[in-house]
Amino acid sequence: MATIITLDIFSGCPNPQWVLSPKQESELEERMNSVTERTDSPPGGIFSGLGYRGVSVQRAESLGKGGFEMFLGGGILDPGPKSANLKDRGGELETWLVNTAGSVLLPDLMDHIHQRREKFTDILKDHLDMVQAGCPKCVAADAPAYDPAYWNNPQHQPYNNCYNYANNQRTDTFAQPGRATGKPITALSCQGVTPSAESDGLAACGDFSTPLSRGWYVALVIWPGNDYHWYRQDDCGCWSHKPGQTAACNTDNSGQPIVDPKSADRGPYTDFCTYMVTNNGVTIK
Amino acid sequence: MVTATVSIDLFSGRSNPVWHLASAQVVALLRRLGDLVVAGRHASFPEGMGYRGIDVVLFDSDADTETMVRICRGWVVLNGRTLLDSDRALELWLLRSCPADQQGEWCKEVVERIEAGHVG
Repeated sequence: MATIITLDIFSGCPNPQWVLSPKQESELEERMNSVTERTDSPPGGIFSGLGYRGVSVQRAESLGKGGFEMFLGGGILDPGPKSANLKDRGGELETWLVNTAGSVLLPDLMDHIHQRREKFTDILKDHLDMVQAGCPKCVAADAPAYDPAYWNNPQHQPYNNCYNYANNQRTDTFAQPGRATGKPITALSCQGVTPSAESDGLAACGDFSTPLSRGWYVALVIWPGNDYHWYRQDDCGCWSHKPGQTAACNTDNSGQPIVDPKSADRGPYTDFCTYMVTNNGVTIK
Repeated sequence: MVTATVSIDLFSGRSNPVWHLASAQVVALLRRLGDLVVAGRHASFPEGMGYRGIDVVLFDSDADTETMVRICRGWVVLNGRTLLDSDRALELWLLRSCPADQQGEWCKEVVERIEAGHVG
């Protein structure tokens, strides 16, 4: 009855595996008995991508004892499709399991895991914040999913701005309204930017409540005389953005989920211009 | 010879302001950096919309090496070390080095906010 622990961490190489000692198996059972609080949240690791994603536990069925398989990541225990997920408070069980690796894991790898686990906790918190924020219903057929990993990497993050992000087009040109259609911005004001966006194919609208069979909603705001900024509504109903060369995110300047860019903390971008509709056919560069 | 390129991490839609320091300014910058003391804790830089800090790229053409410096909120991160920019003197000096053709309302606003004690 071996209990096999597998670290979900590598992409090309086989993931590290080790077997628990009989004493560790007994302790695992005790620890699992204390994890009872149900949750609807998925394990944090499934959000993550490359690097440490979590740890899986497999025990084959043998002499009177049932087998099981479970996955832990970001403070959540997923016991499989037949049971509800459980909260691993403070990630105690996950930490204990990772530490049973002993010398199987090099110290560098251990450091990486600790850093990633802290990040998972943040991602999970963001996810829960969005659920609790009461995002409005998204009625746009093509609204993109919030997928920051698509934007937040060294190859693309510095070369795409808020206009790229709002239009969901990663051109790597730091796109400017009107540049693709020969109608550049005339002033850093609502009147100076809106016609350039319309020239690219965006259309102004009064709000974001009208169902769209094509496209999705974006919003234009202005830092008077200095700059412009765009938000987009994601399919979850809340809004996200990419401030210049910085990472795409779904919170405002106060760290709050963006339920409506009109009422969000926008820092110095004090002028709200308009909501607009964009679509996959819009040309930007 | 060392050259210095300054960029202000500031805008969202437009490209950030970027300029090169004159030779005398580079000498002054290196002296100022050399005078900074090591901070006791890690730097924390602002995020989000508006002013987020200053990046300086120092290029030594003799050694063919590049050094990145990040400056904001009284912190300077240089070669992985965090240094203290007391009274944000270096940060203000760099902002004021912005040439006239790069300046806009932003420069005055950012300097005024720092002088008024705002953190970002």
